[in-house]
Amino acid sequence: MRMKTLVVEDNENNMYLIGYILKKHGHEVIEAVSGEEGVELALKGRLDLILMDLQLPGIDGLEATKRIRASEANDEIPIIALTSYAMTGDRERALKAGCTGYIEKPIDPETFMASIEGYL
Amino acid sequence: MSGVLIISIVIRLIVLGWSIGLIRQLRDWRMAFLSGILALMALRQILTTISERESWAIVFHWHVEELPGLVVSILAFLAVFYFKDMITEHDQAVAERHKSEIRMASILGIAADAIITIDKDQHILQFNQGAEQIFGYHAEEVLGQPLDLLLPSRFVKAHQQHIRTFATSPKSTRRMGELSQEIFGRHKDGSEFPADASISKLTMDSQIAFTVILRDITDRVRLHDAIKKSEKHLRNVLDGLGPHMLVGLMTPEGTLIEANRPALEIAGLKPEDVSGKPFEETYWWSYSESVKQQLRDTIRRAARGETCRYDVVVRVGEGRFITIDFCLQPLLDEAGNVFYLIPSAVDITERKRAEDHIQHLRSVLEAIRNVNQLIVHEKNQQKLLQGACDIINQTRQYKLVWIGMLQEGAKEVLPAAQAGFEDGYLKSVKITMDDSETGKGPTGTAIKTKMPFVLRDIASDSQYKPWREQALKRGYASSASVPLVHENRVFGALNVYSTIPDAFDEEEVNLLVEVSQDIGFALHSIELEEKHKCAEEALHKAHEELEAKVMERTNELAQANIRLQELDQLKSMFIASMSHELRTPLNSIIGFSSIILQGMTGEITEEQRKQLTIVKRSANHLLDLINDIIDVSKIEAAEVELAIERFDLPSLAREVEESFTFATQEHGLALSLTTPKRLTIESDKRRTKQILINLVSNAVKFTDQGKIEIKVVRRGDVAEITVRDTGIGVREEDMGYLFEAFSRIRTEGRIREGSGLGLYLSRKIAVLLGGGISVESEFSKGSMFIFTLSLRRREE
Repeated sequence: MRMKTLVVEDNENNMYLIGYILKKHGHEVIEAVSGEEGVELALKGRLDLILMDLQLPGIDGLEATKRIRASEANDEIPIIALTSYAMTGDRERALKAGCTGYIEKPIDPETFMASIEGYL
Repeated sequence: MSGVLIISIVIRLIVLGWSIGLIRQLRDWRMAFLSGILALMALRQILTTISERESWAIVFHWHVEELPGLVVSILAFLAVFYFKDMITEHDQAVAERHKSEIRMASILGIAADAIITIDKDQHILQFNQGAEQIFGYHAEEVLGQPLDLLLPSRFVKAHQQHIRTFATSPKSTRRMGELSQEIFGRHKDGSEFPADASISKLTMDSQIAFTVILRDITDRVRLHDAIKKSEKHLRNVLDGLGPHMLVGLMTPEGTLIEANRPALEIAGLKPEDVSGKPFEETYWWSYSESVKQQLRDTIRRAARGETCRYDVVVRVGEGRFITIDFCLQPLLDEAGNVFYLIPSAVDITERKRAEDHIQHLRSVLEAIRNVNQLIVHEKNQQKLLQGACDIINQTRQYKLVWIGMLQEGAKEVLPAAQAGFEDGYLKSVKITMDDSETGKGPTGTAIKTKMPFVLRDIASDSQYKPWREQALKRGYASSASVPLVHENRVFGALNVYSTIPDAFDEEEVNLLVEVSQDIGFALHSIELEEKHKCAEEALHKAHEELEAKVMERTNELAQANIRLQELDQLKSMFIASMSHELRTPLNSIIGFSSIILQGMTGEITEEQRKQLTIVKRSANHLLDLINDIIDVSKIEAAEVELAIERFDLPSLAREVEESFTFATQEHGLALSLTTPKRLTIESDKRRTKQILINLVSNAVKFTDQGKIEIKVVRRGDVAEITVRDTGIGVREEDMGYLFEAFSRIRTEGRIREGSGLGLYLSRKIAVLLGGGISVESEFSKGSMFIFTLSLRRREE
């Protein structure tokens, strides 16, 4: 099934890698490079999946997730956080903010899709 | 008729009348004759006178021829006077003799004593009633018989000889038995009896006769024996009363009859030294006139029937005296008259000594108590020392008490207080602490040695030489010096002087030591208080300074703390940013090399695949290193978060096993997993997996050939995961380093990649999860790591 996926990621290389993998697996990718943009895009169109980097310029991924979750239309959309292993409490905070699950960066292309599907 | 004639006639008539009276009274013919002549002479004279009829006028005329008549008359008067006395005396003597004869005869007749008269041949002439009673013979039976009849036959011969000897001796009377001591008589029935007899001799009609007077003394002898026996008994009793019971016997007049053995022995006397002497003149009382006088008074009182008793000291040797409890008791006869006095005494010297000792102890306690009271309230050093001197002097009554204080620099001792008779003595005293003569006296010695020093005799002791003259002048005979010490520090010395030589015995010195210790303590306290005051001021100052310093330091610390906090933040920021910044490029490296290796971007050659695999593995290794470092920093900061959830341990083990399938195959190792079907545990799944991966990857890393076995078992409340390999093993000496951070075990052969943090972290985390990791290994044979995990994670 082709998923319309919003990837909120400020790092150009990561965005390219994630987009590449998703596209290779036949999914549609919408890119946002900041939290504000991500929220705007999430509220705008119908999406199947959001991959949210937590460390973002401007409002961070947690705040963005909360805002997205705040709209009725998006209260059930899967939001998977891309967390950093180093940041203490990232995962808990992510789940608390409304994320469906989390995938630790750096991502492993081999297991990446399987991990996503595990949360859907 | 002349006056002379008339006077003659009157005298003659008086003599005549007197003579007639005497004749009637004395009936003496001589007197009658004389009186008759006188009467005739007077008659003739009267007749002559009447016949002459002379006028009365011539009465006053002298006629010389009449004078002889007057003289004859006077002589006649005197003769009658003389005869009267003579005749009276003679008559009295005759009458006396007559009476005496009568008495004698009756005595002879009825006397209880035997009176026996014998002739020179010792035949019995007379045998009175007494003799009859004593000997049991009638007079008729023995008269004319030999005296031997009355004697025991064994004495007969000697007796006859004695009488013969006596007959020729000049003595007229002799006690019989004088030579043989005892004489015996013989009753008619032949029995003998002891007798007391004397013999006298008289010559009658030129014949010598003997009178024997004899008395039966059987009763007396018996009584005498009884008395002797009882006397001996009494003596034994008196002597045996014990060495302290001194008893004697004396007359009411004060003459000592005897004293018992203990009384004599105690003074080394013999019975003859005292017997028969006035009691107060005996040795015991010979040392004091007042004691003798007291005894004389006592004897007088006792002689009146009073029992007297008092304690007194008596002499028992040269310079030796004992104290006795003396009692003088009168002994009364039935009529209540004193006939003996019994002096008795008990030696109470020991008791007296004990009493004195108690008295001594009392005064000891009193002195200590008084000094202690003084110490409690007196905080002035001078007043304290003076008070102590006064108390000791009063209580013990010494001649002089003074306290010398060791001066600053410890070079000399100066008097600080004194009590008693001093008279400028202390001014003359110089005491130094050096080795000269003035430093070797009792005070100096006591201070130097910290021990009491007793000077028994000031007059003779050489150590006292520098002060002797002055001391003797004031009557000090002995002294004691006791150091005032507290906790090994000497303040000075207490010095005490007595007028008696050797007045300080051990007990006394002990008292002084005790008092001195108390004074030493007081001096210490006073000094301490003064020091304390100074110290308090210094302390106050120091305290202020310190407070200022503390403030300064606190400020510095506060700043340092702020800096530290900043640094800590910096560190956290560093780790966070390192993590992020290091991972971001790794994201791309791992991600893209992985994509290419997967063939998403198209076919690649084997060479490219091989090189890209190295790139990817190196990137992963770098990622592991970063992750380990982050874990260590979290563990050390106690910031590890655990995400506890329920999961199936066998599934997790399978996941791990699968992830290593490729790597083991690559190394040609067999990998096996034994596990129960299901084992749900409550723990941190990700951390559990991390530990298991670390253990398996280590096994793979260090095993060149053989197999790796993973085994999951449940043991009670614990899940046990064992990872066993046939690898290189661990040397015994390396076992201790295995779980330490950054420790890399020496290995041979290929290079083993790793951060050196894997096992360190695994064990730390295992402990956090309520379990642990242990290891068993044999070098070059293989290792077995046992990872235990609590099934239920206990809430903290």
